[in-house]
Amino acid sequence: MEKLKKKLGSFSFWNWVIASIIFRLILIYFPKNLNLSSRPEVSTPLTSFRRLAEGYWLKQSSMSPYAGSMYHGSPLLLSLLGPLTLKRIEGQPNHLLYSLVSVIADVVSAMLIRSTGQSLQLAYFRSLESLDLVKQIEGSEVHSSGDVAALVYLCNPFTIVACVGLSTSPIENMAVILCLYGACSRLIPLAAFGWVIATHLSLYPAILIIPVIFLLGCGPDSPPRKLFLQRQQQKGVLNQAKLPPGFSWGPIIHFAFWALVWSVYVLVLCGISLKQFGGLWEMFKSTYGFILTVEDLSPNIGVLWYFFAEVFEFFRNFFLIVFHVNILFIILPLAIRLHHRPCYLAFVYVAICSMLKSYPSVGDSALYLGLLGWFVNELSDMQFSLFLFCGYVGVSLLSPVMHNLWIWRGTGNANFYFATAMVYACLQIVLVVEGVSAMLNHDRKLRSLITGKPQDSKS
Amino acid sequence: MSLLRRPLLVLILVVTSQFLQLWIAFGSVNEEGQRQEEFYEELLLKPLPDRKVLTHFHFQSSAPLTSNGRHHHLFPKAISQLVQKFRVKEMELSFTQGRWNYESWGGFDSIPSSNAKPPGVELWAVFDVPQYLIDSLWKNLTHTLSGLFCASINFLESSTAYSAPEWSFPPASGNLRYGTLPREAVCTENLTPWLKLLPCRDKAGISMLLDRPSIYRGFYHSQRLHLTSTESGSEGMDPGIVLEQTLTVVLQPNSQRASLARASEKHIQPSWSLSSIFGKQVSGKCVLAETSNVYLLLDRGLVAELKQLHKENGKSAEKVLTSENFWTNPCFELSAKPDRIFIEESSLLSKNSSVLYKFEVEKYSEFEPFDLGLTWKIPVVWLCQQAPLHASRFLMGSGNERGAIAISLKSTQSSEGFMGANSDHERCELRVDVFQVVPWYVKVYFHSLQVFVDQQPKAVSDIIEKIHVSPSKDKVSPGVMELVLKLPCSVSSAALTIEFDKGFLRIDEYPPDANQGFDIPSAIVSFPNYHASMVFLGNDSLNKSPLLSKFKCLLCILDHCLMHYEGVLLRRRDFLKTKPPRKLVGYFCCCQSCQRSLEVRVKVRIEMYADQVEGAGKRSVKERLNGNSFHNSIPRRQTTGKRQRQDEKWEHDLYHDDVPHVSYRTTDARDLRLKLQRKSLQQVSQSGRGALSGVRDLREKLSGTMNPWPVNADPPKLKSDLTKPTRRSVTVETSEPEPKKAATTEAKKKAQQKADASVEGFLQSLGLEKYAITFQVEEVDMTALVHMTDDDLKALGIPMGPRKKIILALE
Repeated sequence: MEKLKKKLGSFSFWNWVIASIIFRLILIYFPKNLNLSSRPEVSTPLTSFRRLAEGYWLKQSSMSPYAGSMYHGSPLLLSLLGPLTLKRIEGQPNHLLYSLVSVIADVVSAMLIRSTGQSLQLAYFRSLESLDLVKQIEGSEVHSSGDVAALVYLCNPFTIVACVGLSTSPIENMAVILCLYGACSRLIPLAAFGWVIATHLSLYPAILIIPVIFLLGCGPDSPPRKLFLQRQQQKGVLNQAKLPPGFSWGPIIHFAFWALVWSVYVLVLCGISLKQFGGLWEMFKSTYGFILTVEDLSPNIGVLWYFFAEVFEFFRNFFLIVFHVNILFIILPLAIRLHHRPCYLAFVYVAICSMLKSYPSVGDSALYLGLLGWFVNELSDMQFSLFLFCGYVGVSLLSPVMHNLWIWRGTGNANFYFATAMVYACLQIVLVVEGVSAMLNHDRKLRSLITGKPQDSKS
Repeated sequence: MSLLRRPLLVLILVVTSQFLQLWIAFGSVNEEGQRQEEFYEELLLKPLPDRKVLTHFHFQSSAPLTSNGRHHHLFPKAISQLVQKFRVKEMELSFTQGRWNYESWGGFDSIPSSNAKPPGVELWAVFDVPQYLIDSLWKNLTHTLSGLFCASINFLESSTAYSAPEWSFPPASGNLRYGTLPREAVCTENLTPWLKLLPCRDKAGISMLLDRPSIYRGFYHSQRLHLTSTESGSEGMDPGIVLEQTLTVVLQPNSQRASLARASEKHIQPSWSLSSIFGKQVSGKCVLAETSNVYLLLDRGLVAELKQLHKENGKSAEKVLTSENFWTNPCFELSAKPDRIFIEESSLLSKNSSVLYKFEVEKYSEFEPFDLGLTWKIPVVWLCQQAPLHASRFLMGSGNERGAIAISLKSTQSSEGFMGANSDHERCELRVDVFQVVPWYVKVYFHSLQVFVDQQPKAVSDIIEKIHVSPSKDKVSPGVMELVLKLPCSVSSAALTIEFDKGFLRIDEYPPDANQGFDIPSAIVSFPNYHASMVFLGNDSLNKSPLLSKFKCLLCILDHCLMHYEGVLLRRRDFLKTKPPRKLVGYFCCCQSCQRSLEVRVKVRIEMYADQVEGAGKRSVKERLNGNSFHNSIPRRQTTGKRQRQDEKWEHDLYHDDVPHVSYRTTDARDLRLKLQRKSLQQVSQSGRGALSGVRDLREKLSGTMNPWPVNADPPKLKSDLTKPTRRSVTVETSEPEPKKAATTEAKKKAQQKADASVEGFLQSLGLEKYAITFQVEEVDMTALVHMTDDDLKALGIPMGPRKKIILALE
């Protein structure tokens, strides 16, 4: 019976995957890609397809791709994806090859998410077994979190829009997921590669090094180590073998070595492709520099553009520092509190980054929503989930309307659109806060199960 | 010692005399070997097909480039200094208003090709220095020129405003800088300094005609200054500076006749004369000018039409043309007899040739002024020569996010005749150069360049022979696009489109009137293979005329002969509305005024002043500063009316006749402050005690602005010092019951006035009359002043220096 259920489940999983791919292809065949590629939600100055094409054109006409302030991406993307911006097949949509690459990237990311989720779930069950809590947990329904996460990622409208809108965020997301997958399945070179590429492409994934270190050092998510000790104290036996392994430095040094190798490799490649156009310094200035000094003030779903359009010039640097340090301030407390759940920590970091990023797009939201699927069992008690869901739907419907009113019809103004951006930021904050507290509650629930105390629902 | 000194003196004498000799020798060489400074003045008149007249003033002064020459006889010193200081090799500055109408005024002459300019200001300059120095020189040059011509040319200083075209301008690639200000308004302020460069100004000679009202009434008006300096090393030319000043005006003569004439005469071109279009006549030449000529040009189309008419009348066209009295033919009549008639060398390009009449102004005097008039007898319809393609530019797309620029070229039928000359046997090609500058906030996607020929999309590489692009950098440099198109001769229309995104500006980057939109500088479309040259048959005397030699010279500059400025300016309406609501701005300002930013505070003060003068309609000061209003309870109109009346009276009392007017000026700010205080007092008395705290608050804020002079010295400290006494005075005054105050105001004021007068006189004797008001506010009379200590004065807010002076004088 159970086997049949599982079969059915996997069968419907593949159905959903195929359906989502077909849906993408249908959208690609719409004329002009439904103009998605010029939507501000999809194409930020960093991920815009048109800017990529412009950068490639400049490079082809033997100018620096960073001449002018159009292109701000990596030179490697230019070499890999640039030719696809020009290739046209008769009778087919203009950028078919490029869209196919995005679709493939999405599918690969989904598969990686799935296998990561499965290994996470496996590890989690193992740790529950060692705590003898399997029976209590089994009472509630258990989902295959890998499948859920992969389907959430694939069928999320945000992912689909980012993929069909020809932005580069599917590639960036794939690099992040590759990094987490490598760390979970202990493929250290792969993890290092993913981390280096993700950092190279969009800078913010650099902070994922903390969860990756935890993942490599003490293994995937598990209940706090204290619980195991308590459990064994209850039993009266102290069995070191049954305890989860402590922090080990070996894999981390291994990771550092590989990260170094990959980053040197990437820098050399970039240096070669930019040799006659000002070299690496030019690249850093117009990629990372562009991200850090919010130069482009075109509207996006973030909040920084509005703020920096208003702020006085002499305060600008101060607020730039404030906003960027914000991210750094959050890193440490979360790392301490959630160190036993590195994958969850990674999810929280990705969510916070996509909120405080200088040029956020829906592709970033797609990533953290996908990762959220991994913790579907743990977060089953999360509050406000319906509210959040409705909020996301509402914002994603209202935001284009407000944008249209402001930019195209001229009947609204910037505040209309900015209001939806603020609501969106608030939703993300609520999601992160609620998510973290739900996870902590889950840990508390486990502890109360072990100590046998009557469990109070909220503490 | 004295022995030693003497030989030294002798030596010095010997050396200096040597130098003097050398100097004199050089000077004489200069005078003999090189040509003198020269000045030519000329005027070209040309009837235009659409009942208008083109007048083209051409002044040329040249000076030899002397190494030691600081002195010039004719040549403007300012210009020669500018050339020497900034190492300008060639420069052109134009101020233009209106658009050149290429369709009816022609686009194939030498006049439109060098004098049809984009609206606003256009400046380009070539420097004779290494690359890295050019930008700084350009900046200095723009500042100098803006001072010289009273225009905002200094805005071209910022790197977002100028560009360095590679090959669109032939004189020198790389060393050239080009900038335009499409928004600049042109007025007499710009013309006056331009005229000052002429040796006779507008007092004598042809420039006497330049009557401002009639010039600025014209349809098109372009004032240009072209400067060429040649080094001694260059080929075949004398070293020197040539300054060429042209003013091109298209005017519509008043046709009073048309109104009262018969219907058939309505088609006759309006007759005109110099006095009717300018309201002035020429009384003799400028004595400093070498030549002073007026030309009347009948262009090819007109001459052909006239010949046609003659033929219909049964006369031989050839005879009419060659006969000397062509000027009194049945078609039109000239009021003055031309001194010479030139007929254009019929070129290969066209069968027709234009005719030029020359009038020498020399012959005329004050008693017999020169007034050329043209009276049409029969209706004539003709067409001016058109450029091979007519260019226009559009902005495509709607909305504030993105759009596209389209440059469309349409073939003009009339030019087909000239096309033949250029065609080769195998493939006839028409070369078109396009030069476009876009400001940085128009973010052009160069990969989206598309070419349409006869409405069919063509591969870019087929049509575009050469392309040079320098993409715009945000807030740093504008985007430049230079293209060379090769179009087939049979083309009837061609179009270029290029997409762009509209950039978003920070709040302080908006122009003052953002809702008018932003102007994209004109594109320049030129046809290098067409020579708009005219060579007139005649003897060498013609060569002396710089204006006519310009006609010829266009032959030698092959590359640059036909320039087609598109007049179309893109107005980007409602470009970006990131402008926050007013509240938000107000909020920021408030924050600032709470801190210690002086400028903003001053601004607040000015606003308030405006408020007070304007009266009822606006928001109150209090509302602006604090957001909450204490004003609402007051019947506003009544209050302001009263206040104004009282203010006038008060002013009258204060500045009685013996106070000199100057002091009134200097105490202006103070006077404002007093007004404000009175205003707040009245408001308090009307709105009751409840609002007292609010007033205090307001006054505290104002106290920062009270004292504009000492503020520079030490603002924060003074502020705190100042607030105390003023506050005290408020409370004292307001505690008085209202009716009593009203009754006693008159008497009190009188008494106060006397005492104040003495204080004022005392202060005036010290030269400190500007502080009189401060004393008056504190009701300090002479008796009180005697008892005041240093600390008291300090509390009044008197700075250290005056304080010491007062104390010294009191002792």
